[in-house]
Amino acid sequence: MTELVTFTVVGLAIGSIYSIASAGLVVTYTTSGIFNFAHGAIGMFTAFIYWQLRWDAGWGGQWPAPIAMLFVLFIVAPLIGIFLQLIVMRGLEGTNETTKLVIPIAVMLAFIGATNWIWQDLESRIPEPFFGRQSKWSIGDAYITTHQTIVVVTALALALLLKFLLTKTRIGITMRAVVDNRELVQLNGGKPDRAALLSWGIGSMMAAVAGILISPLLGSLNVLALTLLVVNAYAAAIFGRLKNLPLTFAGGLAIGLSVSYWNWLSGTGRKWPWLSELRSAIPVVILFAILIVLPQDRLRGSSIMKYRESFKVPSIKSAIMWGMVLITVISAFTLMLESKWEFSLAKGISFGVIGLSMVLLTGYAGEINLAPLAFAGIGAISAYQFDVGSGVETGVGFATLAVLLAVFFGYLVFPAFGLARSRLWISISIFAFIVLGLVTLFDGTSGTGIASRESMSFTGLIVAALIAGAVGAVVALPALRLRGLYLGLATFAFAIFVDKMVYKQRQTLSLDIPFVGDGEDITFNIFNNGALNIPRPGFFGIDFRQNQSAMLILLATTFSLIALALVAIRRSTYGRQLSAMKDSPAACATLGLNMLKLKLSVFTLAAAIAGFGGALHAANLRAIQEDAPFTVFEGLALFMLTVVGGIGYISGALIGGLLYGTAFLVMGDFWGKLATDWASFEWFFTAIHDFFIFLGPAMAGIGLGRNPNGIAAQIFDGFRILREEHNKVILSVGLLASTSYWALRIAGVIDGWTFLLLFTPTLILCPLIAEARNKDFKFEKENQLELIGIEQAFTDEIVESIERELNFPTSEERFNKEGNPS
Amino acid sequence: MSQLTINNVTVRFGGHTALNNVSMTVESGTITGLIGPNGAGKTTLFNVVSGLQRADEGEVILNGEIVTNKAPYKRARCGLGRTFQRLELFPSLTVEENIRVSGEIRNQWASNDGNRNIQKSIDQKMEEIITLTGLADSADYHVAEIPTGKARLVELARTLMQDPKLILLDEPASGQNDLETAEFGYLLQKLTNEGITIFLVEHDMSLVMSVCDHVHVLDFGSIIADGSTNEIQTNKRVIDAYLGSDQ
Repeated sequence: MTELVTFTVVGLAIGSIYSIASAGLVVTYTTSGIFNFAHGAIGMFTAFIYWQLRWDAGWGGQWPAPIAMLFVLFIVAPLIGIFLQLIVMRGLEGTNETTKLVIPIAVMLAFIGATNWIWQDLESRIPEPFFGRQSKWSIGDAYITTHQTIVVVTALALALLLKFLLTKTRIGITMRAVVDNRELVQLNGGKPDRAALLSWGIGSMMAAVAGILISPLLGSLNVLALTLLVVNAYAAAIFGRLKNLPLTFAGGLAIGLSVSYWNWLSGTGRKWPWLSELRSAIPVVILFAILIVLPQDRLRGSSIMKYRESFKVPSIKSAIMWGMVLITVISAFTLMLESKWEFSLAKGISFGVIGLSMVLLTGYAGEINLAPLAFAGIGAISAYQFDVGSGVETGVGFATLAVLLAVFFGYLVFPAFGLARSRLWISISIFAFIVLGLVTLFDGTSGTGIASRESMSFTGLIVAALIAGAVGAVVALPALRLRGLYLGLATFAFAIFVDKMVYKQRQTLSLDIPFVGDGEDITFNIFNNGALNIPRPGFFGIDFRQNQSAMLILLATTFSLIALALVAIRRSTYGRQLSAMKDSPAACATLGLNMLKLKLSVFTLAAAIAGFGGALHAANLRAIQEDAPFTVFEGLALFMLTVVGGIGYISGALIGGLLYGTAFLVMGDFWGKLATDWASFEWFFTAIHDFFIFLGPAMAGIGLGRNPNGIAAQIFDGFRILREEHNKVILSVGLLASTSYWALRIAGVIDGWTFLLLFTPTLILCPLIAEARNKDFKFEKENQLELIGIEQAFTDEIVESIERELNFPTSEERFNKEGNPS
Repeated sequence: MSQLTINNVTVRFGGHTALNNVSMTVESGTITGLIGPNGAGKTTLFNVVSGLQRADEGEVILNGEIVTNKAPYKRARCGLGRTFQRLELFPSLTVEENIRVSGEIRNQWASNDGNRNIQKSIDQKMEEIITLTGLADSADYHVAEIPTGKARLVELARTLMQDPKLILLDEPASGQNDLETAEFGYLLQKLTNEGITIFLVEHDMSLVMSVCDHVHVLDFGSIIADGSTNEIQTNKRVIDAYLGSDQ
């Protein structure tokens, strides 16, 4: 009985906090239509500010609780909300689903980055609960702390206040009216903008309350843990279908109680070691479950959007050419780069390979996956277990597993390519045989097992892709009905689940393959010490272990080949069907297309690509940890930067990967070097260095994530001009100059930084010069025809160019004709 | 024989009854019109027939088969095609690709269902349909770049690639000029001659009256009249519904 009361009280307290946080989320969603991914991060950020004011012994600290509280809740938090709405969120109306996800994700990463920047040093920051840890009262034998009491009372009071605000006050009713019809509110003299501002203010205030109340329950303040705690509230908001506040409050309490009772049942995770981390994953499991059972909108077409994305599709020929250009350029780079820079470049390109999975899934098929790196992580773990980690009783066990996976993969993916019936089974059999051949012959996997290899095998990579693909299918299967935001949230939940349940898994798993061996055919330890040492590849007679250049070229080649495959897919009937599904599900259904199969196949394929890329990425890094590089936040950052790059383009994936894996680190390094070289300006250069490292990706997201076509398209447009006939000179000069810098660098005449300082301006200047020249060549299109003669003099040149455009005889010709009749 | 039978279909949106106990048939080989003032429930009825909207009550019978609980794509495979009032094209694709993908989808499910009866190659069929609908000039354009009237023809061509037995056309003439509409009417008659049944929602009364064999009139979710074009034009309730009654 005492335990029941204790765990109920704990559950109610934490549930109340979830309720508060999720109510804030609902308020902003209903008035602006934007799901504020940054909600958790705002709660975290304000909790840090509160800690700084209330508890820090140094700067600012030691304010009395009520004053610190009032300051944070009524000044800092509302200002954050209002600022966000004014600067960032207001422009999102009428943009597409991806943009509506990416910008709040960028804001979330900005808050995380800013907090990491401001509170850099590793001091432990311990917020105390209200009235101290000893302040409590009792029911029977059970104790209830004053903090818990305050939490529950606050939640109740806020619920009543919100109810009053939304139903009894004029501004509250306006807020609800904006949800139904913004234009109508405006026509009736309401002020939707003011209502939106208020709702963002209230929303971030609620996040702050939740953050401050929850932080003492965590022990020491931790940026990611605190953010994720508030993220748990998302499940409650979905329970209230993002609009119903009473249901949202109930959902929050239910989640809090579930977590608490699970802790009671499982002895805080000790009873079933396999499930020891489930307590922190329960909220996302609930989130996933709610999303799946929630009734969905019926099929609709794409709504009219302000910014229409339009991705151009390259031809196979140009895909081959650009692939070769990439491999050539990278190979040329390997001759001049130090191993350290090769390593960062390889990091960027392997992220690009993972990014290709998003190009296929989101760019081509329009399905959102916020867990790209979860699949990459599963791929990396699989390759590791296949080549190094697992104990195998008989090689037959692994071979059987691989064949089963191959059949599963083929069954899901092949029909989408138009293979049916007997042809389907023939191709699956061939595929399974190839995989079997790889496993048994190519890598000599037979007899006593394959463990403890010193390098990653090609078969290991294939197995990584197959396992990641299979997991992708299993995750996608229940989520097939979901679209847009809801699909994004479901995959987000999956990413957190993998963070908690896979990366933190310390148990040994034994697999029994039926009819093979006796009992435990394969034994492995998923993530044994919180870190896995991933071997570098060694195949095709090349040893990539010590040779960073070879690794870099391998990655560039992999990228080019997968990219080529994607272009081929996009130009095939399968690709056209994916585009059709993205553009209009309703029309697809009326054409007899079974979209569930199509979605399942593309999810499987994309997860397989991510798994393949993840294994290579991990091999390049040589080691992965439970908290890097495949966590949910890193996945969100990569997703965001791929959108910035242009998620519909192959090059978008490359740009996204390079931004995430290479560019910001190189920039940081550059300013860091300046800081050490010029000691007197150290503070200045250090600040810029920190800005790039902590806030670079987030700022790129906020600044550039709004263009649905990404920066790849803009870059292309810039360079396309160089292909025009009269610009060939500039192109040649540019190429010649770049090659000479490269040669000088190889010869050791200039150093790496000088190369960069010469090469970058050349790259930027070439298209600019071409454009400037073009203006002299052509009739300037900027001048609107109807304004000539009004804003601009009617010169002979203009008359002539108009006549030329219209194919009239020029005045000279006319004169000749009229003056000298033949 | 009736191509489509709708029995006692009712659809409610919250407290609003969009369709109230609607029954009607569409005879094979005819052009049947469905008219009614704005908001009468015409598009809702089309959505119920094609499966995009679930009926609260009643049943839909396609070609003798009850399809009430079938998914939209399965109804399409029974020979039902449709176009949309608010265009539902694939803007990522060109006009040609829009039409091609439809044929490809059809061939794929046809061969999956064991129906090896795919006589013509997609290219051949596409050429015929593009010529028939007069889209040859626009084939290489992206669908976002062509005028609405043409876009409606693309939707029709896309549906024709499916070899449908029955096509639901939702306001195909809106966005077309008079000449285009006249040509369109001629095209519809050609299609019926090839054995395709057409169920037409249209506001352009001259088109409806010139091509339809039979017309149903919907008002406030209920059928208020049906008959030949002549009967409909003189029906008192129909005139009241369109012009308002004297009482």
